[in-house]
Amino acid sequence: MTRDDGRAKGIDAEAIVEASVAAGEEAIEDLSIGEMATRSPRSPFRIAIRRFMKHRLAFISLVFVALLGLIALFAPIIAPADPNAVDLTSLRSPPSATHLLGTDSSGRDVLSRIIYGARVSLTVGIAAAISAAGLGTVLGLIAGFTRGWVDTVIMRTVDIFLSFPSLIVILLLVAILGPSVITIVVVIAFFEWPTSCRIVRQMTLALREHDFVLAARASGSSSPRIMRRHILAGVVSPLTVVTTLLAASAILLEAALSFLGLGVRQPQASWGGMLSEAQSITVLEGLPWLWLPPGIAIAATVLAINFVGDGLRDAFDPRQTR
Amino acid sequence: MLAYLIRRLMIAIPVLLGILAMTFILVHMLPGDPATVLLTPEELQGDPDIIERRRAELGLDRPLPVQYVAWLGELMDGNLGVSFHRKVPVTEMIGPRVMPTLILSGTGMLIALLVGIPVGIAAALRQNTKFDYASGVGSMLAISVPTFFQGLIAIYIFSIWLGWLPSGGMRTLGIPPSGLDLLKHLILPASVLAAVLMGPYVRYTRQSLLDVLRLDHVTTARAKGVPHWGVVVKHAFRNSLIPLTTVIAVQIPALLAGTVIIEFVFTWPGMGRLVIEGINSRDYPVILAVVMITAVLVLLFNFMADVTAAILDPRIRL
Repeated sequence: MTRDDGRAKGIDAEAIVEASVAAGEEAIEDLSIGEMATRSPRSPFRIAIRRFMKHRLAFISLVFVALLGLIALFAPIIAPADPNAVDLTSLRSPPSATHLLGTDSSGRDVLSRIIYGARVSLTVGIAAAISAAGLGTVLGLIAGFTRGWVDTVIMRTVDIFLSFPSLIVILLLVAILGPSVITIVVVIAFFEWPTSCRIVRQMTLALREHDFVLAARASGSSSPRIMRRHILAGVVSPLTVVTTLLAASAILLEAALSFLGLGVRQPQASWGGMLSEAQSITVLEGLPWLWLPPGIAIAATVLAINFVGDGLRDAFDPRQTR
Repeated sequence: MLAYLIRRLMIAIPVLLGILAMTFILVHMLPGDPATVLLTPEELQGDPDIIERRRAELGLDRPLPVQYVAWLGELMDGNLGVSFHRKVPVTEMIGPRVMPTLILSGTGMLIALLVGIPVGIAAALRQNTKFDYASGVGSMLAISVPTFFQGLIAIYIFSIWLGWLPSGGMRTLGIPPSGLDLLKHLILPASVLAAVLMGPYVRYTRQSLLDVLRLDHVTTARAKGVPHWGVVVKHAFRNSLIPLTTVIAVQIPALLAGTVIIEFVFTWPGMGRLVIEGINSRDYPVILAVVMITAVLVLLFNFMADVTAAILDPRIRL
């Protein structure tokens, strides 16, 4: 294999892998220390959780994302009005007691649309990230575990996918297939799996050399079983980080698609779609309540998810102080 | 070095063929029969067999692999297809859009490098200070706030509120084109593009410099009495550049995606805007041509990054 495979591509792959390999080794060392210590043995998972809780910014961000999830889930109860109800008596009205964030050009309540918009963003973010990470994990495990020509084929495919400007291809595919939440999720997952594939392969290459793999093989485990039970367990921590970061970029992609008019269909509320009204200079200049709140909503959500990802990476990294 | 270059090329060629094959598959997924696209309604009505003949003429009745090879041949001749919408060769439509995009993305990248690298260095040298945290949060913000929202805010503040800079376009209509006028139009979009790119540059420069500063040769340099700045500039910085070359190459698709959105927000007459126009008018050959050109560019940049890294770090050549 050439040397480029270890270097950073897209997401900071190398740092994640390095940190995770080191975390695994540290956990093994920790076992013996833990037995001697009077405290209960610390599993690497518990250490990670404790470190994560100490990372204040990441913890606040996690609470924020969880709250947002609840808001999205209970949107019908929380939203003050029907997001699609047209109030012809108040078009483009500024924020007031009846409409806390004003109304848009069709007289719909902006606050309610933002609350419902959270559903689209979170659904796309979570579904696309999990599908992309899932596909990447399966292919990465196979590539790293079997090596040889299978590995070469998968890794060259990864190179091909990483060469494409994903935004443009996603725009094109969504335009061809027709915009809907499902199409957007599938298309984003289809073009975002290579980052996780690289990382999982990298981890698998390191893990498969460990003695416990040999022991499992000696006791008669089949390759699929070793991959599932032994390798996958070691890949989980970097995978969590990558999936989090993928969710952030999926939300940004969906917002961009909706902003360009290729996202979910109107009248369904989505944050990017709400911002597309600001393409007219009159809206941009005179009606800031139409575009500032959805913009801030996207930015805050993505920022929070990125902070959670950062916190997770630090939590899994034993080089950081405890 | 030569052996290394040949090895890199051996990897790049199948990837290039893969990129082209994927573009070809996308061409075939497109709705709309290329055989009917160039025909006028009169021709279609006058002759019922014309579609069949047209298909044979265009070679659409041959098996797919044969068509792929023929299509590769066309590419070699510089033929990227014909626009569905305007019925002119795609190359003619892309030609005048190349320069504006190069100006915008080049300036954006230059600003990002000129600001991002020094900030990254400063953050690494002042690790765990307020400046370090501020630059960390700042670059996180730049990555997290959607490009189009950054663009809208920039227009709102600098064009509408302060009235300093034009809100879009590449030149003022009615006055002769001048460098100053272009610069005025360029500042906002290029700065937003730079903001998008800068986050990763800051983060990687910082991390890479911190990693190098921990290495033994830096300790040795300090021990033999090299002054602090000498250590940073001569012994650490050069080595920390190696991963950065890769990051810059890896960022090229992000640069292009950013350019598409920024050209749209700022009505900049470049290739990105052409893509959006192409999508709105369902003019797929134009989009595909841009996709393919950028994919090949990305491959080229990756190759150049590998070569640069090999020049900077002789160990890679082995």
